[in-house]
Amino acid sequence: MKKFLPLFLATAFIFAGTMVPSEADLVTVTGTLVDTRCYGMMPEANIGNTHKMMKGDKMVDAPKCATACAGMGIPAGIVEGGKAGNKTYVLITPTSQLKKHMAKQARVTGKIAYEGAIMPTKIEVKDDGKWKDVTPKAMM
Amino acid sequence: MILMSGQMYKVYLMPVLLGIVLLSACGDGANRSEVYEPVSYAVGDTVDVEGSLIDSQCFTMNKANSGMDHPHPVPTSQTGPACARYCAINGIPVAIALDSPNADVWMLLSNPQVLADYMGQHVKVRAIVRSRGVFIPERVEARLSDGSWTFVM
Repeated sequence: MKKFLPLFLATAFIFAGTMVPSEADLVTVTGTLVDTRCYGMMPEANIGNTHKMMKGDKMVDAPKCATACAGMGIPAGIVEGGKAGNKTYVLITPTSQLKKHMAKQARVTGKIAYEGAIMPTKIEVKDDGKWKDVTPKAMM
Repeated sequence: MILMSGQMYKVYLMPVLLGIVLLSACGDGANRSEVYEPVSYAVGDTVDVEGSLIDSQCFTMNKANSGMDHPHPVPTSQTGPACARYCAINGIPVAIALDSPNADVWMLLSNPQVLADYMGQHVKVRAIVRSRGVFIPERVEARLSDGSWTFVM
């Protein structure tokens, strides 16, 4: 038994290293939920739910545009700090399930999957001063 | 400080050192996300790129999930065949893995349902660079099996 103890220790060391979850990969971003496409076109004007868009040669207001875009599947994102122009992360999640929460203050926890994209494990929005879990259900 | 005899070094220290070396080679476990370093484009520029359409969720969980059929679908209860199409129809954002040495992944800000039938296929995309790793696609064409291109969006 004593002969195998060093080998056992080395094996346990390797195994333990591979099983430790990488907490450093989880990030939490607080900001505003946006429709990434319209927001991407005009960040200052389209950070809320009412968006500016061109109709002919005029700029008009499109109420609840973010909700409509999310309902159509345009990827949602979170603007860090809720200020137009700040770092924005695309959320890798079924967007239509978030359509009722567009333009709300949000808190997203997840892993940075790619540059500019988060795979969320938890999405919360502020409703009546309280954080509410609105994480989309996984597809079955 | 306790000094070990030479024999004890061989018995105890060498396996531990071997473990350190092997652990370093293996990385820090399956839970680590890979952060891609995308190619560099100036924000606001219009670019023409080529690559493959991928499901951004399944691909990040396992790089083998690059085609229409996923050998490792997410969640695991999901069936593998046509998983990418299913994910796109259900609203998971679509991304493009560029034809670059790193196969850089860029998110596409468009309705994923429009791209659902072309998942895993080679495409060329004209897009505006929204930010690092994010395109606003203006035009997408998919390459067919005979080498011709078809307009997608």
